[in-house]
Amino acid sequence: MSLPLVVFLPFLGAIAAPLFALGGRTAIAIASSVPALIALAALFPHWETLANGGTVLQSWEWLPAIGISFSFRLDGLSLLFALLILIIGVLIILYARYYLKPAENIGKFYALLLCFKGSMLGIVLSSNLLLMMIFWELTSLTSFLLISFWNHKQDARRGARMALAVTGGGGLALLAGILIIGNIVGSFELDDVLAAGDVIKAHAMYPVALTLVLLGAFTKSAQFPFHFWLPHAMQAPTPVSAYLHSATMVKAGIFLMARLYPALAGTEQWFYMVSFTGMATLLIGAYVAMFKHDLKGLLAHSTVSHLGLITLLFGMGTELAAVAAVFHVINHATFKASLFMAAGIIDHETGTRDMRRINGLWRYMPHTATLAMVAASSMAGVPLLNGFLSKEMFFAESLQLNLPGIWAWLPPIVATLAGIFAVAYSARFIHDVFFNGKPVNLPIYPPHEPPRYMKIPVEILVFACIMVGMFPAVSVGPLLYAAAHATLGGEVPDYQLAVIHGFNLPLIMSFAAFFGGLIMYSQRQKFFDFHARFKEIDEKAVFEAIVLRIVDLANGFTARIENGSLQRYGMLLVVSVLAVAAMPLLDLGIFIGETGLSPVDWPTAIAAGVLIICALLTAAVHRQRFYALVVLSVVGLIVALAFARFSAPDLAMTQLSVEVVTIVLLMLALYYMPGWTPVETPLKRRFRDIAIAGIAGIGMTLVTLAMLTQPFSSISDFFLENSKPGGGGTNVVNVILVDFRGFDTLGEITVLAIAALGIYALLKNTPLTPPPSDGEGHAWSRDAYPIMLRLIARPLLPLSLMVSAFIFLRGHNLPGGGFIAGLITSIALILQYIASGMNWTQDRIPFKYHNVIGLGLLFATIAGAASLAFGYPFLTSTFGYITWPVVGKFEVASALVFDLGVYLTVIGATLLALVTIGRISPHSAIKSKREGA
Amino acid sequence: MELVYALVIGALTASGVYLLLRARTFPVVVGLTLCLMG
Repeated sequence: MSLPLVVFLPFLGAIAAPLFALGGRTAIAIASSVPALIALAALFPHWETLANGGTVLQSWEWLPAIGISFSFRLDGLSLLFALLILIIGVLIILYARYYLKPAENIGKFYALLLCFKGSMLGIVLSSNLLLMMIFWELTSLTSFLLISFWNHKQDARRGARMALAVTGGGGLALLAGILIIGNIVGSFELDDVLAAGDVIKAHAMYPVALTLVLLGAFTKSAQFPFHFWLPHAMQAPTPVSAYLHSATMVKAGIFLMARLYPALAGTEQWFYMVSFTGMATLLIGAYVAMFKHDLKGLLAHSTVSHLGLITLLFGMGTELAAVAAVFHVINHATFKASLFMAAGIIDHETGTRDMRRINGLWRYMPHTATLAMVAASSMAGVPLLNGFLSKEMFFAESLQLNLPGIWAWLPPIVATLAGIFAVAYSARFIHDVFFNGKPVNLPIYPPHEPPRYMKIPVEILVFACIMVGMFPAVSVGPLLYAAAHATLGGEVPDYQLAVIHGFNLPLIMSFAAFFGGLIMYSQRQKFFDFHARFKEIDEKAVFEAIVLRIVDLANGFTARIENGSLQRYGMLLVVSVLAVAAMPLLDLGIFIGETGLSPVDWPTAIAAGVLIICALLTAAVHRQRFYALVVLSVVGLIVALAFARFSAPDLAMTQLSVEVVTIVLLMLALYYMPGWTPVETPLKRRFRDIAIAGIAGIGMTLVTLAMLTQPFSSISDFFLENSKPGGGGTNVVNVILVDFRGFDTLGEITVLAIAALGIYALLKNTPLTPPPSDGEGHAWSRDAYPIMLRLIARPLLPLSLMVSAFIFLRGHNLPGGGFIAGLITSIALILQYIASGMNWTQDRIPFKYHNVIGLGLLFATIAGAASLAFGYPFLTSTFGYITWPVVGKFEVASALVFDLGVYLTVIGATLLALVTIGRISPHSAIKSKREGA
Repeated sequence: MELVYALVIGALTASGVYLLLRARTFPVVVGLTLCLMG
């Protein structure tokens, strides 16, 4: 249980710590330190196991189906990183307590810092690669939030965005790489992956996986050419720079390389990719660092360079180099974190970080100056300090590389050159800041020593630098051994941790670097002049420009596809439907099936001919909307007849009534609209549309033909068999509607109701003046409500209501039902509106259609829910027989209530829609009032 | 018979799709009606 505790305590702390913000900065700093202290105590008992190269595994199942488990693993390597994270974390918390100004939101700062700490611990302690990936992304996110902590500054926001884009993008690559590795190994557990190193390296996908994983590692650890985000991340408060961007987070990529070293390293590809990337980063970072006037800029580029050094060591592929790499991780974390803290103190006390203005601080803050000078010497590689030891190992290893011919000279030369630069920029850090004349125009003058406790973290770290430098074997030996053992996954080569290994080539390289660096610094003006000749590139501006360009491209692409023309979307939709449907159909082979064609009778053929002609005519005359409607109604009528002809009386009745309602609705709409459609599309496009329509039509013909001539059995057999015994009705269509697929019907009538209410809401307050004529010069008929129609319509109402009642009641067994009956009733009422006018009819209807809709939905839902009361599922229907005098034996099904709901909803929705459209013209209301009176 | 039936559906679909691709609402609604019958 101890490992997840270590990982999740900081997250809990992040929730709890801000609560202490009210108690003052000291209170919250103490509260924030608690998780780390508990974590250290929890890790301590494991030391015995780890010192001898053992591992501690604690795992729980999480999502076994996709290979994620909640498993944690502690070995020497993860212990080393966990200690760095925890110990430097506590020091940073103490330091930040004095660094942040009282007015700043310290609660948020500590919460974010703790979140980061938990995520980082998650990376190093995860045993499952996918779990590690989650924490990996979390560090990118928390880093983003911490860089932009001062989010009122544009530079901070930009720097944060850039860091997120680069590390987040790398994270995606890493995820892909991990998935490939998991695929090769068959497990995401670290033990399995490390054990399967040979399988992975022999696999065909190895180059891809390695490249992707390294992309993730290089972006995170700011390796060339992705190094540019790190200097811009220095917009963060200095504790963040010291913690995330030098000691821990940027080492996550290094950690990943160390972690997967047994699984991935040792191939040519690994060697070339890692070592050359490291070499380039080492050199570029060290070179640029020299020219930075910003204190943190110098340290940032130096960090880039040291990360390159560690990467290069891992790339070399020898076991000793890996040991040196792990060693340098410790050393760099200690001296660089203390240097950042010193830089923060100087910034805090002088108000600037510009080294051209900060000079001669030795006189004002000798204590801080001493600490910074020791740390900077360690950075330069001065003997008796820890930086010297790992750098010596690095020099020694750079001589061991077996590169062909003249290339063998490259690593030692690069190493020495980078050493020279490192000494030069370290010398600059010391000389330019603490000596070199007097301060120039400082915002805060005179500077003085910071609060006592602000220096304590620096002192501790500098003390560690000296201890490791002077007594390496005692101070860091066991930990380094455990970490190296875990990294190499077994045997650790013989190495000696001694202050001086004797007079040898690496020592000469060290001396050359040392004196070369001092000479270079003394001649700095020439280098500065040389460097000034090159135009400095602002990576932030470049990055923003690239992002803008990509956004522009994306917008342009979107605008090209989504240009706002609904007509075009319709075309794309139809074409995609055709394309999607065509592919499987072409594979299937469309042909006339084995049952063949049956003979056709003359009446059917003639009706079909008329229908086809009318359908094509509708499209042909669509510009004259009125004619199109007339032709359309003929089409509808014949379709209704066709349903009757092919033994579908229910559909025929529905089609007939729907047809009437549709035509009336369109006529009503046409009253307000022009009677013709202008020619708007060019001829070419119309031909294109005709072609699309033709393809759709031919396609449908072929599909229908193929389907009709295949012997096939469908689900309808089931319905036919079960309609009577299961649903209590012989009209299968109705039983399907109210029983088998009752839930569908409930949804459909709800949609119908919503549509009607939508029409009502849209048109409620839309006064539309109808045109004075039909647009072609004909005035409207004066005889708005012809007397003949009126006189016939009125007696028709009770008759048609009776018909609809009959249709409704018999619906369960014979053609009919609530839907059709509802339409018939609607039509009967619509006829009254047409014949006698809006107001006359409305005055005689004592209810609102909204209520009818509501009532209908209520009936349907209650009928469905009633079965719940008897312990049956929703919408279970039952039926029984009662004997009624005169009528005789009579069947009653509970579905009848449901059907009543359908009936009422259909009436309400149809009439609400039609009446709303009919009423929008104030003119018609006045007119009909006069007529009705 | 099947051929007649298929031709009817094809004609309804073709006319409906053509009207669907028009720029104005009215023909589009008419086209939808035709497609539905198809």
